[in-house]
Amino acid sequence: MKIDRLKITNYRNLEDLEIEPNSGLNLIFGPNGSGKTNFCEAIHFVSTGDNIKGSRQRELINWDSNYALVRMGLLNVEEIVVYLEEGEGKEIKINSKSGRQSDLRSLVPTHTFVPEDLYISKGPPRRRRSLLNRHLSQLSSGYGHLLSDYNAELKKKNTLLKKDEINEEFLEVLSERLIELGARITGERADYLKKLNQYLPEIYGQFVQTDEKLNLSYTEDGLIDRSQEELEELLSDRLERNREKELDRGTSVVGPHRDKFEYLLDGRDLRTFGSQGELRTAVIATYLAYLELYEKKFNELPILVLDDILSELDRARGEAFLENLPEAPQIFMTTATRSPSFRKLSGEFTVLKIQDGVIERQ
Amino acid sequence: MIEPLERVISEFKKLPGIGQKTAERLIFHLLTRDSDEVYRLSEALKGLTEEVKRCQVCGNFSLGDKCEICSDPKRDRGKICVVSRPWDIAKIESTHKYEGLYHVLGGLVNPIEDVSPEDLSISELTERAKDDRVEEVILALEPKTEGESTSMYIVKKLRPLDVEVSRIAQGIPVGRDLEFTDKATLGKAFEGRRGVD
Ligand SMILES: Nc1ncnc2c1ncn2[C@@H]1O[C@H](COP(=O)(O)OP(=O)(O)OP(=O)(O)O)[C@@H](O)[C@H]1O
Ligand SMILES: [Mg+2]
Ligand SMILES: [Zn+2]
Repeated sequence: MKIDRLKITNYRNLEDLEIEPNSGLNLIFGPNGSGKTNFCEAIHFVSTGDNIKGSRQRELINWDSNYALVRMGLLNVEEIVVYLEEGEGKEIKINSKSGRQSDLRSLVPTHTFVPEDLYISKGPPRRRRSLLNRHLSQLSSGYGHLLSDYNAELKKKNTLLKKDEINEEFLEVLSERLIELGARITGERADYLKKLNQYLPEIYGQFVQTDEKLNLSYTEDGLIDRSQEELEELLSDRLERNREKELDRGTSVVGPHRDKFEYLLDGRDLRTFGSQGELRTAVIATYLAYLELYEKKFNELPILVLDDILSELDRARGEAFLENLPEAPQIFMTTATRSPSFRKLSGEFTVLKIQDGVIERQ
Repeated sequence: MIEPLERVISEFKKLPGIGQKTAERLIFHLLTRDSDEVYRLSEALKGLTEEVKRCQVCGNFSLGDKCEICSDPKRDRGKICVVSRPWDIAKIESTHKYEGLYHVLGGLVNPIEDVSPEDLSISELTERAKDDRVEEVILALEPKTEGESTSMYIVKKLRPLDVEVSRIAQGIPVGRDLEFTDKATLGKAFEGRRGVD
């Protein structure tokens, strides 16, 4: 799947932009504030129906307009249009017929890397948890539903825990359900980590000259290679031990919504000991490992949208990244400066220059 | 705005999903129809409060104290199918695959919406299930994932009783004995019905 034509109208500062992208690699340069991130966002928007930053709809529409429109032509789909009007919902059209968001996801698999992703290794565990959720929602067919069921029941339980009068039996039912769903989530995450860690050390080694092994692991021991029953038992024990605490605090304190993950370099916590560059490299290595697993599973890669991924890497690492970049059907990659690493690029690519929301082929 | 218009608008706006704009549009539409049609609508609405009652036994819509299904001697009194809303009964009936009785819970347990088990007719259900004639209670709570915890709660409540409990979603009984094939078949029939909506 490749994007043939792209027309962006009034999406943030991109008032009127039209290009026919290269079917391989597209490099987008432009100074700070020129619209590179907006361009990436717009591609993500038209191919998933989602705003990647979770911004409010009004913010996506150009300040001087009351609608935004992103239109794309694909090889075997005439045209996909996502239209946004102030005060109205968004409208999706696939070949002039109205479509749903879920239709888009299967038509144009896209994966977007945003600059904030580089901080996944550094911040609180929730960032790594949400990364795993994002990856698993793509790679495992039932995971998205599993997670939303779990969260729905968790919300019920948390509301119940805060009430003055608690129906104990129903609380028990919710806990049982959370144990079952929770154990499945933990199991899926554990399996994914195991697979990820088969690739991580080697990929990381291509960026950093080191014999040290990089791993992304559960902070808690003993969760890998467990059966559903074992995981249920573990979770059930922990819930039992924390029962009073949960009632006391009026919220659920144990379960996969609190799972913690850390990057370990030869067993040492990267978050405590790693340099900035090492932390970022760990994220990029994870990303590349994810893409390998993705390709293995689906026999093809998604369209990659990489916003500013090189900016925080030194020259050697930037080159290592470009060398390891898989042969995705189509790549859009932005940077503020023309990086010297680009001499490493082999094959054909298109350079696009963006300035004040206007794009130009170079 | 003149008073009669304002009155209707404010009544319309109390309905779920209807705001000022929709109310205005509906009224504009009604004003362009002939008056007979509007009169029939208002009569139909009046009938809603005057004629439609809830069955004292199962909670289904009914013209009298007992609904058509509960008063039908041909229905199988050994089975009770539990649904969350009366509308679900019509859906199941349309499959012609079920001949037992029903029980309307009146919703699903949801602490977020402040619906606790006591707000639903769960104790009425357990009372009904104590009747010796009742052999089986079939849970058909929709939507499936939202109804899951309510189903689990009811299963707990029914466990001490001498009834089989089966679940439509899985198409198999929950109890120890799995050899009730006709239940599984019934379940599959219901499952087919699910696909329709
Ligand atoms: N709704 C909007 N209407 C018009 N302009 C907007 C809107 N939303 C954001 N902008 C502007 O778009 C400009 C470009 O933003 P963008 O984040 O795409 O820049 P960038 O090229 O990625 O810069 P950097 O290199 O700093 O990441 C910003 O100056 C911002 O003020
Ligand atoms: Mg940017
Ligand atoms: Zn009845």
